[in-house]
Amino acid sequence: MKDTVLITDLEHAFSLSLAEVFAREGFRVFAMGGALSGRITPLPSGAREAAAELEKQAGKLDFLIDTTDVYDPADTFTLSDGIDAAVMERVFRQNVLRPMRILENVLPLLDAGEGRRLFYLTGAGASINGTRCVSGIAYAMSKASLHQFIQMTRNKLAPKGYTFRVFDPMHGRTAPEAAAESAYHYITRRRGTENHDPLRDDEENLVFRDAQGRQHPW
Amino acid sequence: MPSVIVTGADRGLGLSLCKEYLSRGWTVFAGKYRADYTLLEDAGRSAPELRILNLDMGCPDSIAAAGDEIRKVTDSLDMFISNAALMGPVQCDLYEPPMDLEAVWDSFRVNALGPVRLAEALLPLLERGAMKRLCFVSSEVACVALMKNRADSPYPYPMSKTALNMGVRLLHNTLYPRGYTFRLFHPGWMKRRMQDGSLSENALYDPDEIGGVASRYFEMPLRDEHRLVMVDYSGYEWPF
Repeated sequence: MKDTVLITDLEHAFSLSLAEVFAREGFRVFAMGGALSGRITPLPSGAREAAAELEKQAGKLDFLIDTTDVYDPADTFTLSDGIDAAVMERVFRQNVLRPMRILENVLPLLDAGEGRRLFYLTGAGASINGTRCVSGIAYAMSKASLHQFIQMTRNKLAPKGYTFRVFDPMHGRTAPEAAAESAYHYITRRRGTENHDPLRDDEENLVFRDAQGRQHPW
Repeated sequence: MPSVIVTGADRGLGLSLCKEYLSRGWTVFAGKYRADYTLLEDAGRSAPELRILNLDMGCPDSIAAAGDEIRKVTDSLDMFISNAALMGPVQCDLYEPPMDLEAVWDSFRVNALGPVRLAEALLPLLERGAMKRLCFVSSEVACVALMKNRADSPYPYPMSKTALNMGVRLLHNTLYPRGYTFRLFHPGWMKRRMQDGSLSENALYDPDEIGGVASRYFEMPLRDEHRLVMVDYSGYEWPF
């Protein structure tokens, strides 16, 4: 049986490219919302409805590819010139609460699958120890919170064989097609256990890599 | 004398910090949230320098009103201490749906967004203060790397404290070049101050002892102010 993949958001060119790469490589690809090619099966945008439909059509899920990555055009204020509370809430609900709700709904399907791999998008600007930014506050604070959610989820699910990927597609700095190829290989690569493999620790520790393979601090 | 605002001053570390600064003659603006605690009023009976403000860190109107109240009394503020935090039991387990995601939002709103919003509201006063010092009570559970293998924690509080640390980083990036200095403090597991003033048993530290240490750490200058660090009561530096 083909491995099943769920892409949760097709807003960005990166996500569309990633869905196409998985389809090209023979995966059975489902996607929530958005314009789709014939090789990708559309699902409702609501988490519960999408999970119900996925269960009906596939009965399991191997790879959850959560491509939720909202950067609001109004998220340009700094902390000294006025916080836009509406932007903060909108971005937090999208970048944090939506992925939580999606995972909660598809978790029984992931438990029924064999891949047990979860993938989340982030950005270097959300690295507490790396960023030099003064704006993009809603994005940075929401993604920092998401990072902790992923770590805490890893604590719960890793003993059941789940593995995790946290990835910066480098929007605007790397072609989406190239970033999607990089993400595909990072998502599907075998578990790194060999001593000479520089990525060998990735399965034992939650790490955050960008499209060029560089690791960023949390 | 210097002036300071302390949030979450009803009890615990916030109350202890207020008493510390009052004992040194500071003017203290104390953010009070819980009407059922009167320990702050008790502490203020012999301290005319204590100004109690009703302050809900999750409410923008309350934050704005607190700023207005302070401006009625002074046109400058020397130190800012964010201590208030929302925590407690919530239904937020992946395997027990539906998770209460509004609890996640509420924690973020009070523990992360509230402090940076209050700091922003008070910047004009801090700008005219002598110290320009912003202090934030955080936690080891804010650190993503340190949360590895802590499977027993519910989501909202650690997630909100991670977001707070991000907010402090952004504040540091913005304001350190303008002369502001920062303190990020991990107080440890403190005993809870009950309504009658006694301390709960099921924790490690007395908030008055931690308050004494923290108040000195917040006040004293450091040699490497350009670094944002998180330290605990013993001066040990934590990753964050």
